[in-house]
Amino acid sequence: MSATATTVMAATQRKGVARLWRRHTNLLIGTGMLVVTVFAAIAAPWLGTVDPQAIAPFNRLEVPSPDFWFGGDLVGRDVYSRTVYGARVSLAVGLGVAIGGTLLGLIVGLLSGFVRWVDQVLMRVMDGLMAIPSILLAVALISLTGASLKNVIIAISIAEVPRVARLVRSVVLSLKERPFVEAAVTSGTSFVLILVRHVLPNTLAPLLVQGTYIFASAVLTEAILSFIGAGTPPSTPSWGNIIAEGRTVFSIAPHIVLFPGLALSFTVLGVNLLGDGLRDIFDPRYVSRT
Amino acid sequence: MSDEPLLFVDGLGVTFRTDHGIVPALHDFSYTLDAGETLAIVGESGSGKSVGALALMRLIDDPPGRISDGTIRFHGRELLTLSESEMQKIRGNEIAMIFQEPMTSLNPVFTIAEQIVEAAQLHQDLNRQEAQAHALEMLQLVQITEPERRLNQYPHELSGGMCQRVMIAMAMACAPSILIADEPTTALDVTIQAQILDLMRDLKGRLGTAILLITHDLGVVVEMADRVLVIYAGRKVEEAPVRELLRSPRHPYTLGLLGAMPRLGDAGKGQRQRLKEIPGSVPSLLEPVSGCPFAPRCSMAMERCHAEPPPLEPQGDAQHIAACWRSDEVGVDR
Amino acid sequence: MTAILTVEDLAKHFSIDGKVMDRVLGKKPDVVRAVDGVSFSIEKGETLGLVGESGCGKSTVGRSILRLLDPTRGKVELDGRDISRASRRALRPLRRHLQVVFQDPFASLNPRRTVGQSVAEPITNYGLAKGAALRAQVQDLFERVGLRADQIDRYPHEFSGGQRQRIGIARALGTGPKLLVLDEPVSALDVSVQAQVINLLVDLQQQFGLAYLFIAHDLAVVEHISARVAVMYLGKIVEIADKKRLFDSPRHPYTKALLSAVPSADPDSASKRIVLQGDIPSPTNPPSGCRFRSRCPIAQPICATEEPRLESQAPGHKTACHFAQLGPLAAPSRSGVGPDQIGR
Repeated sequence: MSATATTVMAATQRKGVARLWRRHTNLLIGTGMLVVTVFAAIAAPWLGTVDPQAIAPFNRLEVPSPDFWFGGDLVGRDVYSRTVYGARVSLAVGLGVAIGGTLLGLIVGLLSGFVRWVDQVLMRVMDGLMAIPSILLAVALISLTGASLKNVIIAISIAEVPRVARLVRSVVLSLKERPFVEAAVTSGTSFVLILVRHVLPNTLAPLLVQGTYIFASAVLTEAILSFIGAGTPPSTPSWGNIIAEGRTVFSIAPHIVLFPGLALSFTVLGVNLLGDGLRDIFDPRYVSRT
Repeated sequence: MSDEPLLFVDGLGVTFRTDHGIVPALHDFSYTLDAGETLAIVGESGSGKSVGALALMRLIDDPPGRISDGTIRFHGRELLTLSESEMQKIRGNEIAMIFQEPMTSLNPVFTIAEQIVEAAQLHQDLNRQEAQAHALEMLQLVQITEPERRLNQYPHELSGGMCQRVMIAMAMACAPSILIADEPTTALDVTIQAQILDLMRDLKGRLGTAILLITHDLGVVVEMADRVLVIYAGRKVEEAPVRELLRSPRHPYTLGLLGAMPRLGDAGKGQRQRLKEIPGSVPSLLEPVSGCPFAPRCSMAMERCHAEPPPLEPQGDAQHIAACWRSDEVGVDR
Repeated sequence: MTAILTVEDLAKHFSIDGKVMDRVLGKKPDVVRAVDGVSFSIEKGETLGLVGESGCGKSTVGRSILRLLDPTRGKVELDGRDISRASRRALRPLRRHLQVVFQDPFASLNPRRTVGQSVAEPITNYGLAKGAALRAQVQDLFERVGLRADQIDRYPHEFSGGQRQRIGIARALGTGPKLLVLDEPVSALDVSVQAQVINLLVDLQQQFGLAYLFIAHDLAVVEHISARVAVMYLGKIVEIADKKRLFDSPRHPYTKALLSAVPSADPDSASKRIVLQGDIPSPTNPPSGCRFRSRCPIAQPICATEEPRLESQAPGHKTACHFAQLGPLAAPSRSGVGPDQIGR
């Protein structure tokens, strides 16, 4: 290949990357941020951490220093290690709720969209659930079942189901009227096939976008639950827990609240940006403009 | 009375920037409009006919659109160099526009009275009461049923035909010299369309408004227009008085359009005639055009047509112009 | 002559969901009588045009025949077999012979499936072909509708409106239907593309012996493609006749008004236009007696009390009007029923 050709190719490739960056800024940044958090969670033991539960009264309220990156908390545990390990809890909750809530919401939404009388009943139930602030709902459910990671995921999922259900329901209702679905009906396509071939693929895009928002919301909700003591047990390092504990000594040792707080903001922001980026990609008008 | 026409458009060019390149939506577009006459612009979707009208009102979004060339003189005044505030004094006041979808062109959260009053108050020095009275007058002018009742109704309470009458009332509220009608009856039922066309002819007669009618329906053109201009791929390809165009079209595209339209009463005249098709489809404006833009689809195209774009030339009658190298052979075997 | 489709007294009513308070107070919910007693038949290989303005119910007739809606009343028979009351299961094998082409070429194809998959769907539903044979059949269908066979793996958004409509037609042909319901198939297309699709439909009809129910509002198009035409107004057929008779010598005032309202592209035709006053009444509350009387230039007192029946005025020509007559619209004679006047 001639020199000019390679230069032109390289230039087009560079231009291609620049264009990619310009078009999908949100998506790329969001994904990057999320990758950082995931990496931290997975690689926790190898990122210079110590046992997050290890109590060392000698290091009580130790100020952040080169030895103690994020400082020590009220009982001398390493805040850095607890923050990094805390990512595990947050991501587990985020992912668990996103998947659980979406699946359950999908089923409810499909049923409501297709069966009229079921719709009336289910939607009133959803309305009832939505009327209760999700935090309170989660607290109530946890008080019934007891505090554990699993129960936290279940409780928050239930609180998120109505939003997904309404979304799926509206997609189904609008799709039912679309000519291509009617054409499938007149072509003799069975109900199940219509569901699989025509309805579900068109619900995937909005569900995916909604899923990312649920993820972010769940992470935040877990933190709040832990903060008020209704979340994961205090020994498990979760950002909410750490912030809760640090609350009392905020004026003298702000680092205990600061670092997990930053981690929380960082993660939620990243996931939200990712969601925005995905939404833009799936928007047919956006696609045609680019 | 000067010889200057009411509206003089010369060499108008409009481009749109897209991620795939610059699209010349309108190229070297020229026409004139005299006071009180009706000029129809006929074209299919994507031909640029609506762009021409929006450009006239300087309503092209910049970016991505841009009026790249040309001049528009209204009452001898150059419109393209006016400031936005000066342009606002003209819009709705001296040049008004009505659109295709009357139901969605009215603001759903304002009553009919409020919408007409807004138009009137903006340009005329009327207080609320005078404006309300004027609004009622306008509704009566457009022969809407129960005008007093309509004043307090919302657009969704009105039918399509009534909404279009309201739009016309709003447009005529300040007695503009030019009314731009962009497919005004396309979304309406045939019997309602008849009412609206009648109304427009009546108003034109009474108020002497010039009408720029944009449409794809040749029947509407025959009913309403004095002259007609055919637009294809952003360029004017033919212009003539209406009867002249129908009797002897001089551009293959015009001939194709006339042949492609089923006409009421045609089938009664004898055996079923096959509709004349124009093969292919409208070209993407992204690709640069060499030669005549219609050449790829033209049954009469020769080599010269693909290489050299034909200029607009008078066809015997100075009022009739067409852009075709073989215009004298068009329609000879009709 | 065997009719491929017979429709007898078809009706479709929609009840509008009322407010809860209304139901508590015992008020009956509004009923939209979209179609209220429609009867006609279509012969094998024939095209019946169904025209009317918005709200007349023509689309609802099409959808009821296709069983996208369940009729409230009436009977529809396809090739002698009842399809209006058949259960979904019994309906399935019958649907093979009854296919549809919709108005909106953009919405009638699933954007997430290739066009080949969309066209193949009816064929696979009935197990008519598989694998390589299926692919060959889809390619053949593409070519029959004037598209290139190598495009079957593309997605709908890569095609123009006219091409998508052709794909819709190809899909409808897959199972070898006897009757095609076409609901405004060319209304959304440009004039030049419309001509292509109309010519295609005419060609296919001749090739395959298809019958068409052609639902449209464009009278010129309907005149071009139909053998017989039925005019609907507010849920009822007001006139039905073979094409030449309907367009040359209409008898119902609405038909006359409709025909005269079409802007004529012939500058030399003397347009004595009948302009109807007012708007089309709401289908929830149609006028008593003859539904057209509120806009009819020749309405008489009897029109409000007695609904006219669809009756033969001439062979193959039925009209529903107390004062049906040939010739330009004129007030009926004193005796009440206008005699046939010939000549214009």
